[in-house]
Amino acid sequence: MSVNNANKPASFQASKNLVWLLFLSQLANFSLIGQELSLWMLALIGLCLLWRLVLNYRQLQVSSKWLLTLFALSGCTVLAISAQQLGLLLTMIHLLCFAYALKQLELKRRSDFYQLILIALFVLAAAMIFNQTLYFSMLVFAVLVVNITVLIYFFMTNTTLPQVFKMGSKLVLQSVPLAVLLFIIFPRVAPFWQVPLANSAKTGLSDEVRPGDIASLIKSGNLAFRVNFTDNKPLFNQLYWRAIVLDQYDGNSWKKSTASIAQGRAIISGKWQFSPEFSLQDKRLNNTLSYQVIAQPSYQHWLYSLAVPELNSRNANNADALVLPDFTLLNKTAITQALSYQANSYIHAPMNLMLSKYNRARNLFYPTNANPRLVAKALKLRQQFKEDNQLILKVLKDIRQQNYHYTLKPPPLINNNLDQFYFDTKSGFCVHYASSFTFLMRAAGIPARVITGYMGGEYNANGDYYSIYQYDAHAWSEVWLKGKGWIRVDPTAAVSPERVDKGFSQTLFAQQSVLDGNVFSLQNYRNIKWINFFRQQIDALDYQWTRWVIGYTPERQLKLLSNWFGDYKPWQLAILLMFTIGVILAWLWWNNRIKSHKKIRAPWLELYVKALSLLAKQGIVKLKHQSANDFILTVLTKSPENAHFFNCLSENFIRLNYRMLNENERLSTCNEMKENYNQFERKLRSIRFNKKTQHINVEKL
Amino acid sequence: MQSIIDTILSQLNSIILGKDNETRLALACLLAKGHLLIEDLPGMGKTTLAHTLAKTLGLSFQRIQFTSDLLPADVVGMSIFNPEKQNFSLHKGPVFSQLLLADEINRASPKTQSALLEAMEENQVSIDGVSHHLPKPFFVIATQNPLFHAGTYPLPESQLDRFMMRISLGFPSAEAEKQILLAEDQQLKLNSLEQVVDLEQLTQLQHSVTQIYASDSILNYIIALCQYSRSDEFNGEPLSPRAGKSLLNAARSWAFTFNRDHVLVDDIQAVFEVVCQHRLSSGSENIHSTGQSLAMQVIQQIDPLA
Repeated sequence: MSVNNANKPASFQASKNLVWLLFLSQLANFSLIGQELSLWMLALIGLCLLWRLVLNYRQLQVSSKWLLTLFALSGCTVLAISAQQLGLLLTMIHLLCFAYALKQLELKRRSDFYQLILIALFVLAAAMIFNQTLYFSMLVFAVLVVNITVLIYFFMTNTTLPQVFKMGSKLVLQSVPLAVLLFIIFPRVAPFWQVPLANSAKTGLSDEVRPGDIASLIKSGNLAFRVNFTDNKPLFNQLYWRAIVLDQYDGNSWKKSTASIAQGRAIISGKWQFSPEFSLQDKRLNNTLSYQVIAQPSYQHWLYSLAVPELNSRNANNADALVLPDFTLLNKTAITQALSYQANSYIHAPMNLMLSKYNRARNLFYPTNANPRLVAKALKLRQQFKEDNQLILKVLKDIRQQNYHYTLKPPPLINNNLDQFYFDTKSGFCVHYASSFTFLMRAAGIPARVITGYMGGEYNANGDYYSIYQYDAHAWSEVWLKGKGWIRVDPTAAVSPERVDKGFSQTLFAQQSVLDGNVFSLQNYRNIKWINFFRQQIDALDYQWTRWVIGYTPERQLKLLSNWFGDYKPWQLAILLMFTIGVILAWLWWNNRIKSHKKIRAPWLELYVKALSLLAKQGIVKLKHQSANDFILTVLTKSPENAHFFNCLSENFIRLNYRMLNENERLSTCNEMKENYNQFERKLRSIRFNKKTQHINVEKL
Repeated sequence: MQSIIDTILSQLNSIILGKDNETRLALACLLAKGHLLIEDLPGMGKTTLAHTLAKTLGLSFQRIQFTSDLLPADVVGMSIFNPEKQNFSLHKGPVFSQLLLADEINRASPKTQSALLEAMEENQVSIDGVSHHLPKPFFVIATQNPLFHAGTYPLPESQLDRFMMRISLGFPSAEAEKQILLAEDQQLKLNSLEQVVDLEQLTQLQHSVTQIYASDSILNYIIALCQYSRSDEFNGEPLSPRAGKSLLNAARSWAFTFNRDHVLVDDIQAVFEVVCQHRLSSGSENIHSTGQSLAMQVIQQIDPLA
């Protein structure tokens, strides 16, 4: 390893290759974080990179001062203007990326180069704030290796790039155990060692639903959440994951009513506490589902649960989760990282056996001028059926028997008119059916509401969990019946029972993939067995990653450490930490101490000594003072059958040890010598084998 | 280049019969700019070797027969009063030559010996307080009789150290001796020798020797040899850094005579004995064979590959 520029510590002189490698690594770094940057910042960074390209062609390291100042001033101005809009975290990340783009234009000294690499690592780490999936982490890891390679390449100009890359990978891999150890034991003291919250676009369900809304969600193959049932697994058609209860209809869309929003706020702020109570009968074991949910970041507050949920209060992970009066779950803060919580659901427990007057009125309300034909139909039905039960069954029967059908591409409705859907077009998907059904119920005087959430999920046998994707999004109704409370009615089941029994994706797979338009998505090929198998394997891996790595929260750390070491106090932790670091340092010191005492032998010498020990086993020992040349003769006389390969080996060794070779010659000779060694070893083995067999033959004779 | 070396050697070997190794060593010593000490019984061809070398290399040649009454001025020269010009004019001694044969150097008194030795080390002599540079190149080939001969002043260690090599020719083989007996007049043959190289070529050769590559492993080997000689378990004299340097240069030169551009362990081992034996044996008390055995001991204790 030759140290470049060692005699000139200040100046930075990069080889042509290094300059281009640096450029590539920057591109890679920016491409990872680029998604989070605003357009104008990307444009500025693009300009800087372009300028770097120009400098590269002119073989310059440093840009003109004026241009640099111009870049810096314009960037800072725009940053200052848009800081309010971006928020603190994003502004800082913009600043970091901007600094990274500018720094590369003034590589005057070695320290500049070091700083550049350091900023690059920060940029990489910042990219992890926004995305922590397994794939992305692996990508970050790969780019990390590239960055380290750049750094090493600066010092090892004489070596080829693949070798440096290999060394970089090796270094990064070697650091993994330490990283894992620190990950497990290093205390995550709140404001310092916490991943900052990113405000990204909300994904998933929204708290306002119009007919036609969920269709866009259904096109997405992104993961919504994963569930792991502890004991019992429910039937597929019981997997109605409730997220939001929409109890207000304004003639156009379904929303959460202001009253329920206010209730939610009161509960979040702690002014009001709601905890559902369950009878012992409800809690019978076979009616209880206990499960752990890992929700993907949605940047919203909703959590997902089966009816009727209860949060496991002893679990530290549930600290921020709450149960709302409509039996949905809510997180105090927006879900910006994968969030895990533990819940129990009592599937046969009733919801709200009593309905207050006010609540009743709220769930019966509809604007008088909306959908007159449906209102008329409802009144007609009401006259026919006195029992709510029968009325509901009749409506479902109508939907099933009349010419309704389920499609993801329904004809457009004017002003979201439910009349038009119910009586004219008669084709739509879950939101259409749930909306019209709920409206019909309200018009007929039965309290009803729309629930949005997810239906079904894909079971992964490898990891024993369900994956629920965005395309599993669903809407259905709940009606309140006296003595039974809120009862789930899914009108979609009437028109498309498959959707509810087997899951959406299998029935309308073809239609969906056309809508999706993403040919490369593995989701599209789930009918092909091996691809599906492969996809499930990867998914299982991702699940474990999310569960154990991303889900390794401070609470979990606390629990793990207390499991290992008993209840510990901060000072105990401090001692443990210092002890660990001390042990590592001592180990490193000891290792280096031994190394400095041990002579580092050249690889060819190592190989030659190995060959000597092989020969020594044959009884041919090199005298202490014998030179390699001399020993060739000894071998020739003592063991002529081995002499040829040993001769080649020795000659290459002598070349390497005593001749002046350039790097390429040295490498090729080294490789040749390795080949010689292998041949020599093989030859010796075959001779030994022959001797043995001869010996055996002799014995037989 | 190699053809020149071969020509020189073949010419040397045509005069000094059956001593290929010794003549090669002598040539290597001169190419490495070292001085040569030949120790042998009288009549073994020491002088002839020096003569042949001088002729072949085309060097101006002077010979001093050292005797017990030889004075330093006889070697380096002196200022003599010129009565006509009324001034002192310098009368240069035999040391002002390119190849000086100091015959039977151990017969002269130490004072005279040291006058020569200053010239050997510094390539200059002082006469009446004025320094005079000697011609370049300047080689000394000294011969000495074995120390047990009567009337000899053994060279002190400090002076032995200035000779790069000490070789001895030894008795010729029977076959070579027969040829010697049959040969015509040695002197005639010597006079008819032709010069093989000119001064420029010789300088070129000497420069080439310094360019021979000695790898790290070779340097380590030399260091290991020297360090062993300085350790407690060794009971000879320790090798000085100058000895190590001489060893390296001699090995380079030795490799060069075989047309190699790098030094091998074998080169070191080939020249080690002649380079180091007179430095390892402790002063006057030693006998020739002791130096040889001490050199063997050092070589055998060190693994060249370690």
